Amino acid sequence: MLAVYAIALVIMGMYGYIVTTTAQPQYASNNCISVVPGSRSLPDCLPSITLSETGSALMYPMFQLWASHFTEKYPNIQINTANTGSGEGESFVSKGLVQIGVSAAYFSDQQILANPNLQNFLNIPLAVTATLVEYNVPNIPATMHLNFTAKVLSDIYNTTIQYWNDKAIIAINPGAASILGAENPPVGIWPFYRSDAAADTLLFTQYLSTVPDWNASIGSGLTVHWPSCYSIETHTCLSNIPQAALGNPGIVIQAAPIVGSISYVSVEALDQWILPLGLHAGRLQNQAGNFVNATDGHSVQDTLNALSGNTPPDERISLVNAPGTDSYPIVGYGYALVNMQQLNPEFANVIRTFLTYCILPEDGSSPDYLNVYHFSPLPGPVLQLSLNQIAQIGP
Amino acid sequence: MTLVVAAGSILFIISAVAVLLFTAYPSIVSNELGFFTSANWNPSLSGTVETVNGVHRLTGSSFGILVFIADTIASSGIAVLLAVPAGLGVAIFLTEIAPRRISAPISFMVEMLAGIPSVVYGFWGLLVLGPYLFYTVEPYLSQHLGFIPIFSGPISSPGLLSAGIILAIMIIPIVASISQDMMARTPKETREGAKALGLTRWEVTRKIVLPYAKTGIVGSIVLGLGRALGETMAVAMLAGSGVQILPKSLYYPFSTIASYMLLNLGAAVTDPSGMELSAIMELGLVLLAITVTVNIVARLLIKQGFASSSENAVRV
Amino acid sequence: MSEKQMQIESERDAENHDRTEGTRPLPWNDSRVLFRYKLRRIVDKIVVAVTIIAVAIVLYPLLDILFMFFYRGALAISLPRLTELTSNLQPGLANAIVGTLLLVSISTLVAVPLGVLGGIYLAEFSEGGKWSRTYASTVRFLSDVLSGMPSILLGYVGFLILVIDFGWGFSPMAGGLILAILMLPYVIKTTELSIRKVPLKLREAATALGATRTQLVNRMSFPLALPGILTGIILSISISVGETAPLIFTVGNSDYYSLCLIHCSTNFLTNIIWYFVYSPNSYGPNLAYLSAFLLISFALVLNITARIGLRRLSKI
Repeated sequence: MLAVYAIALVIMGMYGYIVTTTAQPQYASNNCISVVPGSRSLPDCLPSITLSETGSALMYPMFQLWASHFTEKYPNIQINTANTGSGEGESFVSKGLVQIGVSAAYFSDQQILANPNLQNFLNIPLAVTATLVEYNVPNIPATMHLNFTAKVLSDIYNTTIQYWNDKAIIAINPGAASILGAENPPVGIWPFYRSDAAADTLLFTQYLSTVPDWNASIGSGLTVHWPSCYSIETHTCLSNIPQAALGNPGIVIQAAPIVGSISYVSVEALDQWILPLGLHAGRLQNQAGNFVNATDGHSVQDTLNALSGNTPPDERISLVNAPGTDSYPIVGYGYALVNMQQLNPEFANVIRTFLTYCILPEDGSSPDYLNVYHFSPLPGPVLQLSLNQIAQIGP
Repeated sequence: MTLVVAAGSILFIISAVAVLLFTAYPSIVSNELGFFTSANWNPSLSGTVETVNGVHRLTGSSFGILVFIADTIASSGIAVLLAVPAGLGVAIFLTEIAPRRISAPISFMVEMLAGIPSVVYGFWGLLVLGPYLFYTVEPYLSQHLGFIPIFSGPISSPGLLSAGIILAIMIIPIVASISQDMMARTPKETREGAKALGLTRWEVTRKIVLPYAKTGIVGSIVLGLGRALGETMAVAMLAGSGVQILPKSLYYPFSTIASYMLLNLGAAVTDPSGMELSAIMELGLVLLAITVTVNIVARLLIKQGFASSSENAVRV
Repeated sequence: MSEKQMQIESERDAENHDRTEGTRPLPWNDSRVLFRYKLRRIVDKIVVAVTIIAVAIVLYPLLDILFMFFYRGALAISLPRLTELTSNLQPGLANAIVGTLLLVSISTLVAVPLGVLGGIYLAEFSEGGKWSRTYASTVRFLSDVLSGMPSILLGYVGFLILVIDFGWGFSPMAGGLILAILMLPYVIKTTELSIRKVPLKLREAATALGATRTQLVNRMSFPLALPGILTGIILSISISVGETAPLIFTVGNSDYYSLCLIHCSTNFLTNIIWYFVYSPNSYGPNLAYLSAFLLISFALVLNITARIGLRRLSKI
């Protein structure tokens, strides 16, 4: 018996040895010219470094794509990407456990006040994302998109509106009035939210916060205190209080089989999860009062045209509820949170190169990559601001 | 030298508890008894940092763990409720009914159940058990037993029922194997005497074996309960992640203490006042206290079952 | 009694035999007794059927899990899957397998010396005065407490102390240490058990021949107890292979090999399954099936060996 185990141990050791030594990346020479900070050109080679990135679920597929192509270009670089949610992205990068934390939320003044160390962090937008509202209502044809306003959504999520044939929903959806009104028995609404600290929750609740009642009671954030049966006093609490779902695309997977469900998820899940599972994305009312779709082709762009000019040098700005006739209301920057002081110049060099790679339109931000997940590239001025911030990464 | 080394285990556990206590201290001080009696868990991460009684916390935050305790007890309770008949049935089968040729492989297989990692259970639960419950069992239950409040409610795949079932599957081997050991210790003479008097197998079991082994059997059930209380991965996968929901319905997603701790550490660290991290640590201490107590009770019972089983009266 | 009286009595008995009213019939003629007997037999048969159903219900998930993951895992086996990294385009399990092996090695290297030496202490050297006996029972008690502690709490402690305070970052060293703490109680307990099983006669003989306590342990108890000790080590390894919760916080995630100890993270097999559930676009289902397959095989083989060994140990 002992002999069997000894042999097994030896075999495992050999496997480990063979596998690890034969798969070593080809190390380029370390005489690599470092990129001039702020420039748009990428160096020919980089020192061998392993980077770790973690955070936002909505940026994760994009990072996977970027990391894989980046490491094709520089084979001696290793980039670990992980999908742990924006909250963990923020907290891990602030503790130095990873080099790049990804979140659709920048470090707020509040957070910086409480943790002065966060002043050393740069919030660098890499791409522009949007958040969709998707629903599962029977008999609505795929070509019809239901309309939602912030008020209706906030009423849905605090269970004031409990059925799909509610007057308020029919009022903004005259085209679907016959279908919704014919439901017998009435189909209940089952709202879903993300239980982990999510960028999508932040953007969605910022949109809901345009309704004063919601802003006063629940507010916005990576996680919020969603209405439960203990916080509703105005009407009977039926069972359709918002349900938690874990992860992105977990929220879509969980909401999809439930008839009458409504949920929010980032636009990158549209092709992979929303449509295949039979959900439909809705249209949201923007500040101008029009109902727009996120994938109309120019709605996100209109938002950027309206608001991106206001982006300050540290690029901390919310893009939710932008003015403009056709702007999509729930749009946000996807930020990379990076410490200005890295361990050594090599780290700084590689991080600068990687981030530059991600945002350059001819490399990471080319339409081939971004369109896969329906992201939008940074507008020109914002791109320059990001490059300026990247240049500050030292030593 | 070995004496010093043996101190290792003391050292680890004392330091672990010390760290938990130290980190939980702000929460203990600030939340006091409301922590245990309130059902309102609201980290209020959008609030601002304020100082209350010298402790930093966010405005509007309140930490009450009643929901977690109720959910943990509910899921473990369901697990025990399902596991006890099944585990005892298996144990009875193996000791009383099956001939040696059958009982040995089956006992072997039941112990194999104990060796499967809990992530694999969760994974299987998501692939097989969840959909089966969602599409077949829950609609049926909700239709026919819907008048009982706990069986009514919206159907959801992650929920109390699926988590309870998977926990039951995980603790059945514990109950079955320890009960089997205990039952096998009944003295042959008493058992044979009863058989000679004409009792059927079931009556022998009921009147002789079970009373003899009952302390140990109860101990095994409590040990299984301890396992179910502390189980993290399978529950995290199958319970969904609902918070602030007392278990009103079998199908609703919920969070046990362990699954909440697993899924929310990252978010808790974003709290700039540090209060949510403290509160989660205090939650962990509560879990520690519960599981340690349950485990100690279980081990005492089992030890007693081994030692004094001859004192249990045998009545025909 | 005289013969005459006996004859009268037997005649009276014969008369009683023939009379059917006012007499109690003999059991095999009494329809009520016969009915009760048949009832008891039926109840017995029902109970047998119920226990067989219980066994079937218990074994069904086990067989389903085994078959499903063996089948789908076998389908997913391919050379690239076993030898490629989990990074992006053509992911494989190579770094996860290496990571699991690395973590298990670190934890074994730490837990075995501590646990074996501690167990030897408890078995051999703790018989002395009152102080050492109290010390020994404290160690045993705390070791029991440690084995009942939910693993996620240890993960939290590891995160706070090892990852953040010590500055190791996500590292195999941190994960390995936490796993070692989890393994420790089992190693201590089985070492103590197996050394105690060494027959008293041999011990007395050795002492009679003039061996000191240390010599006794080194030359005699330990080699004799070695099979049992190894069994305990194998059991604890099987437990640590399946652990996830503590490792998620201490080891993190990685798409590459890391054979380093600190400041680098690694991937491990249970993480693949957890991430596939939590973030389905991280790794494809095939990787998760293959990972489950490997995990089950590994854990089961170890577990079964250990339990067989333990059975033999406790039956000596």
